[in-house]
Amino acid sequence: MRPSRRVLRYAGIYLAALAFLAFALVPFLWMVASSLKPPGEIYTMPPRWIIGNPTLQHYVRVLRESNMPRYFWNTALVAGGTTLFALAFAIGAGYGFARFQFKGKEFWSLFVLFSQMLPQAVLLIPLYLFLDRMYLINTTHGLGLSYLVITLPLSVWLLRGYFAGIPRELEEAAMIDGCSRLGALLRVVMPISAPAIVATGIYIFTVAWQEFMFAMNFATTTRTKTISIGIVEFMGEHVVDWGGVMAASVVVTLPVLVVFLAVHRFFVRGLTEGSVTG
Amino acid sequence: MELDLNATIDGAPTPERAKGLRRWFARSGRGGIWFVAPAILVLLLVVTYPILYQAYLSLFRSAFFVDHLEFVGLRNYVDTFSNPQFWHAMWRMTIWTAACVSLQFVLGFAAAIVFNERFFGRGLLRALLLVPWIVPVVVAASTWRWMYHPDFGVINALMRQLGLIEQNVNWLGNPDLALWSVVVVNVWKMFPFVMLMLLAGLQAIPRQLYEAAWVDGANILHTFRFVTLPAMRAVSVVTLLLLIIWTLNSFTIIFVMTEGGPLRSTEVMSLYIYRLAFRNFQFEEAAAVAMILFFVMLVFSVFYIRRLYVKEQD
Repeated sequence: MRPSRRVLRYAGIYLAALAFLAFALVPFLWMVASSLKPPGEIYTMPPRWIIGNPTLQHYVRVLRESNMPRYFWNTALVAGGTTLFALAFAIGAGYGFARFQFKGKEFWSLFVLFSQMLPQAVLLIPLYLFLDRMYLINTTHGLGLSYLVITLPLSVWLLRGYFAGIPRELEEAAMIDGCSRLGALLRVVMPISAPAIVATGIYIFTVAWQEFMFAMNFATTTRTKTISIGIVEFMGEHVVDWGGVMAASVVVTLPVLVVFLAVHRFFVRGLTEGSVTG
Repeated sequence: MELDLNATIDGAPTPERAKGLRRWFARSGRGGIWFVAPAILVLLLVVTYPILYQAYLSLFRSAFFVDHLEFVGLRNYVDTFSNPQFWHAMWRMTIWTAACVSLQFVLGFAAAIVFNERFFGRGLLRALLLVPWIVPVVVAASTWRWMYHPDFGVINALMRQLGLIEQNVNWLGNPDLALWSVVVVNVWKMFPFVMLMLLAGLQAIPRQLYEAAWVDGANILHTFRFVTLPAMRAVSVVTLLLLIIWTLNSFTIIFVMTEGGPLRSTEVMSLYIYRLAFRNFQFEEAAAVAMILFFVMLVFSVFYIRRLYVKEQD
């Protein structure tokens, strides 16, 4: 009796797992399939499950005949710049919070946590007016500055947790050998923390890469628009070029998908830290 | 000469040097504020200053096309509270958040339990299950909008083949359905995240607890009720609070799919603020609404941070 019950249980779990997987993946697969279908196969009812004549025409249109390549460049610039600056600030702050005692430490770490919780909608208006006054509307660095709001707090928090887990003795040894405090951070702590720093950097990059609300309002020229806006542009006012939208979506998704799957473990650990074993 | 060389090689500190070092450590310990200051200054500039400015702005009103602000005290707030559109957005946001968070949590919990079991290919399947969470929001929203298409959408086709509906349904064009159609998308997008969080919690439960329960004659339901659930309390609360904060905050997914329509049936607070400010150009009224949203969020943030912080201190 026992083995057959175990087999049943195993089959049940497997079926449930596959059902979850289907729910998760079917929309994604449908996106890829739609991007490869010629228009004649996209607009049919009932839809065609199998692609009859796969075509790259939508990709050609997205990559050759639209503004998307330009938007790609804009997005890479703003996401790259945001990553660089947010990481530099976050490494410093993460290290400061992890290693030092100073006046107001409690207050400032709470302040960072609160900033992380802030809704973008609350900041939309004042940030717009602020950037406008500084002549930073429709500039890449202005948009990047607004992205520090949504990336910096969590980055500080993630790195703080990681640095706190590194044994102090390593730095003390380095400092006895004549390293300065900053030298100990740069030459000892940072090399050890490379995986965490890379993971945090990738997190910042993906957030900036796909942000929509700030981009829509703070960057409205061809020279500054990002790919999220580009996808929506393919949807037009009345006629939607669905083949183009799906192809653009695939192109935007692939880089994010590849890197994030690699680092999600670290990211989740930072979020759950302290609450799991508690 | 020889002594000097020795000192450099093993760095063995003389008593005198050790004292100096200790003092130096202590002194440099106070330098922490300089590591933290740059990030704090940035956040003060792009978070605190804007919020304070918004609070200030919400006390004024400008005539259209006139570059002059008139101080009106709390008028914007009074007007907001007596505006049915505000309460409509508030109500929509409440339904949206309640529906999204509860469904995300239940589905994510179920997925976590399934993927906590050992089976062939679990690692790969679990990684693939994260795809919805990783897909950019705009991509998710536009893909689902295509799937919901009233004439050529795959969802209508599937449901008709299964005999669930007779006619094509306009999922996003019907005011009674639109919000729920977007809820499904948001649940799809976020349940993998819940699974990840809760899976971490499930794996932290010691096996001995289950074994002890089995020895005492507990069945699967008993162990779930008396071992799993209590052990999952802490991580569940944190996950729920995070979900609530994020869902109250959502903008993009709704904006791309419906722009708040039809008939404002999907206009939650963030979209209402956006429409007031960037469509109607009522910046001061919008500022007042945004401040109200800010205080709503503050309540949940305090709960979340107390949870996280108290645990940290232990």
